[in-house]
Amino acid sequence: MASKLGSSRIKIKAPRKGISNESMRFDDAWALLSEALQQIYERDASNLSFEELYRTAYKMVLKKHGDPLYNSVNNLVKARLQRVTTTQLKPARPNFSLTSSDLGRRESGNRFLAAVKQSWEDHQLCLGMITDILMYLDRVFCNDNKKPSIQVTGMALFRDNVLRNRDYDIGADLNRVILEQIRMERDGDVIDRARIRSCVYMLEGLYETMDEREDQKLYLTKFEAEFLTASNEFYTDEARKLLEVCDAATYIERTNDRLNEEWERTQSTISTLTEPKIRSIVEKHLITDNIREVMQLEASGLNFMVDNDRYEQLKVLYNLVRRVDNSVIEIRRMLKDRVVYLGREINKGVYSFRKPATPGEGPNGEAEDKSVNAETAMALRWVEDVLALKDKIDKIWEYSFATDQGIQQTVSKAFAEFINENKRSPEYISLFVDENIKKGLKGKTEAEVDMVLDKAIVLFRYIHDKDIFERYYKKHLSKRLILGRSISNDVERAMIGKFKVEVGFSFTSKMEGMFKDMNVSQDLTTEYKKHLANLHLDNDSNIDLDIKVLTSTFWPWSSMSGETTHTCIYPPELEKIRSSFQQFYLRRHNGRQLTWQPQMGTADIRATFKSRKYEINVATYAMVILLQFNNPNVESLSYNEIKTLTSIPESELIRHLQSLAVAPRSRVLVKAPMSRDVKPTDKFSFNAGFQSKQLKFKIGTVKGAGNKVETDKERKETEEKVDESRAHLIEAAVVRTMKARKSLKHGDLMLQITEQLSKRFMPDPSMIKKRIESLIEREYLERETADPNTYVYLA
Amino acid sequence: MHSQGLDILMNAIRLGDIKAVQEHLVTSKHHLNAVDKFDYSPIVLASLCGHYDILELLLSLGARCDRDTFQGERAVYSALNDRIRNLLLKYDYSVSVDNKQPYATLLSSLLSKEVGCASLTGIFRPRPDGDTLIRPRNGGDEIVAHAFVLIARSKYFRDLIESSGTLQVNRLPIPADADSTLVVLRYMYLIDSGDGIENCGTLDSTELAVYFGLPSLCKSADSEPGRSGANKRTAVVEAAQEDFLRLWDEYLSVPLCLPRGEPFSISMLPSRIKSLRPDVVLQVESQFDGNVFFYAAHRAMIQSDFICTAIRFKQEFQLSQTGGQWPIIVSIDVSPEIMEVILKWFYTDMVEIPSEDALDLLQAADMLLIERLKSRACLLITTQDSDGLLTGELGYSIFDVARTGWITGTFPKLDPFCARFLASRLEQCLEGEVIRLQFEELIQRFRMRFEALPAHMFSDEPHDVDHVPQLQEPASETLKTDNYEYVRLTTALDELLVKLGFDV
Repeated sequence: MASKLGSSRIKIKAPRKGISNESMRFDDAWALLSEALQQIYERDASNLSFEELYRTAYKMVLKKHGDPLYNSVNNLVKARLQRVTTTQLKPARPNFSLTSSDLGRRESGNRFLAAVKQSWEDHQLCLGMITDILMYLDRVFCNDNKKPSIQVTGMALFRDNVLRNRDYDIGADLNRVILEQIRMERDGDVIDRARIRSCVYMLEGLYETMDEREDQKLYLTKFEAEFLTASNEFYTDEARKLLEVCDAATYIERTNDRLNEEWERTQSTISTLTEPKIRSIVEKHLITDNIREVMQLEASGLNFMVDNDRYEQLKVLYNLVRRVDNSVIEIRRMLKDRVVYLGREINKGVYSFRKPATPGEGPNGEAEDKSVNAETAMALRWVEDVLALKDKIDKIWEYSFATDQGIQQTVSKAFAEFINENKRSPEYISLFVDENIKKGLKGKTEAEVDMVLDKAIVLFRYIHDKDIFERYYKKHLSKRLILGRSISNDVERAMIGKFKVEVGFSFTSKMEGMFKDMNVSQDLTTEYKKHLANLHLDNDSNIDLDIKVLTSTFWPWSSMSGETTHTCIYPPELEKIRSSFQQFYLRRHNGRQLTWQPQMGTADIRATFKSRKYEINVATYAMVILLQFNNPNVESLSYNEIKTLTSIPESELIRHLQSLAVAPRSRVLVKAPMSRDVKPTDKFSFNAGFQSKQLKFKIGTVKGAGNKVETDKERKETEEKVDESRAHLIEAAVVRTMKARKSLKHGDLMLQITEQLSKRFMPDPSMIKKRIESLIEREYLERETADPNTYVYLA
Repeated sequence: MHSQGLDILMNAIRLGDIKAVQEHLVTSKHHLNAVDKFDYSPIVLASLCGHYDILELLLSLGARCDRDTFQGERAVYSALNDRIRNLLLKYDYSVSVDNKQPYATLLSSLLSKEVGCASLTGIFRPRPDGDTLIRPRNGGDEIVAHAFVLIARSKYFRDLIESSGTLQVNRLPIPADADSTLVVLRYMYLIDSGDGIENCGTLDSTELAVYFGLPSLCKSADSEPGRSGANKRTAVVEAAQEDFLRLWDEYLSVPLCLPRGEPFSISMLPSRIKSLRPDVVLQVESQFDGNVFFYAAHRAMIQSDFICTAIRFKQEFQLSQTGGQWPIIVSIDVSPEIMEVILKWFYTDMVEIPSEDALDLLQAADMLLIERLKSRACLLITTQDSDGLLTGELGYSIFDVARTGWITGTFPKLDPFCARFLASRLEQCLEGEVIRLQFEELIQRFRMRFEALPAHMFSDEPHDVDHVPQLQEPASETLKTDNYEYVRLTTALDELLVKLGFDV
């Protein structure tokens, strides 16, 4: 290549002249630029030629004057800012002297803020223009030399020469004025929020360092901390003041207002960055530290609000507490105490009723009857009161507590607590259902019925001793079924369905059995009639038999029939039909045993008196008694004669004779001598002259067939029965568990048993122990020899 | 800038939810090549996450994956595995450099809601609003467009606008329906709808092309089916360039010429230029006669940060004070020839320039802060291999090139060229005093640069690290050769070399 070109010498051209070679003196160029920058600061930029200024700066950079240009510009900006500080800001510095009035201080603060705002806006505007003109310097020189851009430097210069001016601490003044104005606003004054906001924006736009890190904003490093400290003090004070002068309602209202106010402040006056911080301060002082005390205020606290259904206040209170404690423990605790308290008040009614009744207890039937009736009414009232309380609390829960799950649990616990404190609650609740099914639900729609039943279920849920409830319910149910007192089978079934959902099949199986019996009996009666028709026997017999065959295990026998066995010598016409049915039945169901329960039955008889014929509905026993007089040869019978003829148990006999011969409206027999009591020597005869207004009427027994609360005697029996069945259940559970586990420590076994049975009732530990002992005695279990605390199952 | 819709798409891609991706793209086709706040485009993310099926879907829908773009490059390099990489390469991953991309993006950004890759053009400014409102037949919203684009690309609109005179705001009621109009506008603004023009609107593309007078649209639709997506795209962009070249040649390249000192007024412009609704006038002084040239232009197309800032400065700080002066005049300190080169490049992305002007162009581009044009100018300079650089026949010498590179910050591109050039012509160079002085200057600069090096090396910007070896090698090559063969270099030079740490 050299040889090819080397032959001719080439003249090398010297570098040409161009922009890069134009001579240029820094001072001349700077004079032009600085003049222009001054004009910008004087707000007289309209005549400047942007192109020329840009080109000048461009050439200076090309000429390697970048460094001095950069420094000179910064110096110029700095000098300018210093002058602004002395001439504009210093005279506007606020007067903090304590002697001046609030108004005066606010005015002077406003003037100062306005001055700061003005100087900042001027600075930004001018800096923007300067940055535009020096764009080439920024892009090329600053970039190549890793210097902060003109913009960034300009911001830092403002920070150092205005806010942190060596002679006048504008920054501190600013903080102080803003804080003072905020305090004035907190005290109810009106301030110029927009003006403060623009100063806050300024602090947000400035940084501690040239890196401009987000967490190094002057707002955060200088202002916010002071603001938070001041707020802390303010709210400590505020909380104390409020507590001193306000009732609970006012307190929570003010707290709510304060929270909103502070939120609004972060949106309109200071930075949203502060929002979570100031919120937590207000929450701490006004809620966390004091809300408990507020709720406990005697005359206006939580109890007052609950008692008086202050939904709105409770709602606000709930929302406040939730801010600091999501599970609102404090509210729950107080609410529980209150509900239990109110529940106990309801219970008290029951106790105070029962106490005076106790001394009068005795064989005196009438007095007892009265007190039983009254107590039944009271039981119903108890249930209604509890339900009313439940309704009240539910409304509060729904409206004020936003259906909070935790609160619901608390309320449930509280109800369970006081309901179970009343030992008779299972009976009362069953009575309530009984009452409603018998009467209360008449004429109501399905939905209404369902609602009442649901209420009953709610209370049922709270009961620990579900087995006791079951016992009562079965008793009440059986009476309703046999006496045909339910208004609707559907309602009964619906109720049982609900129990089933709540506690399962085993709880309701017997009740369902009772229903089945009723249906089977109906079929049986029809079939029996068919059977008779087929036989063409006894067509002349005027007796219509309606029979109910009850499976003895399903029905609460003893509680229905008492202890005495029920015997009766039926008159021949009845006896005939009775044995005919018995034959019919036993043919169909070989090997079963039928026990007749005449005390449960009723009969419709047609009786002819002098005046006319009447149809009378009487109990089976009463019919048997009346039939004794159906013989024209019989004039009168003495009590003893009747007793011998019918062999009806004495107590029943007396009761029925009373209703047939003593009760004024239904005196179909005449008793001699005429008196209330029935004595063995009394004589009875047919009252041929009987008259009644109705053709059809009913002679009830003296002791009503309706479900009433138990007398103490009955209750004692019930308790014994319950204990007995519990004993069985416990033993069964123990054996079941031990069979599966073979060997178990005492504590574990107790735990297992309690857990298994708690759905039905709360087993008493001493009872479990007793059962275990009994099982050991009967050699189902034994204690391990090495460790007497462990049981072993014996197969 | 980034819509929430795009974020939804990106998340679906992250999760590999191909169904969601598909559904999203049915409604928001324009997201196919958009980028999110991390500069991810859908294909970058899909290939990074290794979702082969999604990537395939995106590519089949027409996602671009060109190696010269940041996104395309990134997709291939960040591909999770070879399978993904091969898919990208198979899918018409164009190996040739597509330098039309930034131009097309600029044009699209004028219309589309999503400003695509502002970073590619190096310009950050708000999207200028259009100056013309199009009212489709069947009502709906008016569509905002730019008169100069409409005139450049569509004969139909050209006739319509020129006949309607120069009203304050162009309002064009047109008999086409909104869907067809949008299809045509998308085509005119180079918005890549991926699925082509064929199946949109009520008219087919040929009808649209005839109706709106878009011969190139017709061609692009008729192009042989074998052409691949990227080639098709290239053709579409080239058609646009041709249209804008015509606009340049026929309208904008003719400046208004006034004697110096005479004030410019908008009314002096010919009405056909006024119908283009220029919002900027660039003022250039001739160096030879006393005339001043005024070029009508559009902010929308101007890719110079200087001019954009000047416009903003005048608008914000000066016009409000002096009262309306429209359009804004910006005077520029370059020759009319260079001004025309730059303006033509703004509109067409084409640079045709005699080698003599290349260096002036580079300097002008640097002064006006047009990064992309700087690279183009460097390319022009470094692709010549003429002795003219030594003799100065071109009006500048190789040393001017080196110095300009130094001044304009383009030395990473120019220095290797200079070093190679000098090394191959050392014998001819080393005559005379001029040479020695030039070398001294060169070495001086090198030293300054090396002193600055440590800072660069510790910095985290990758391009600095990249160009260090580039810069060292040719330089030392030059100087070493120099030192062995020519003892005439002064001892001062030797010392300098030692100081520089070169192996002497």
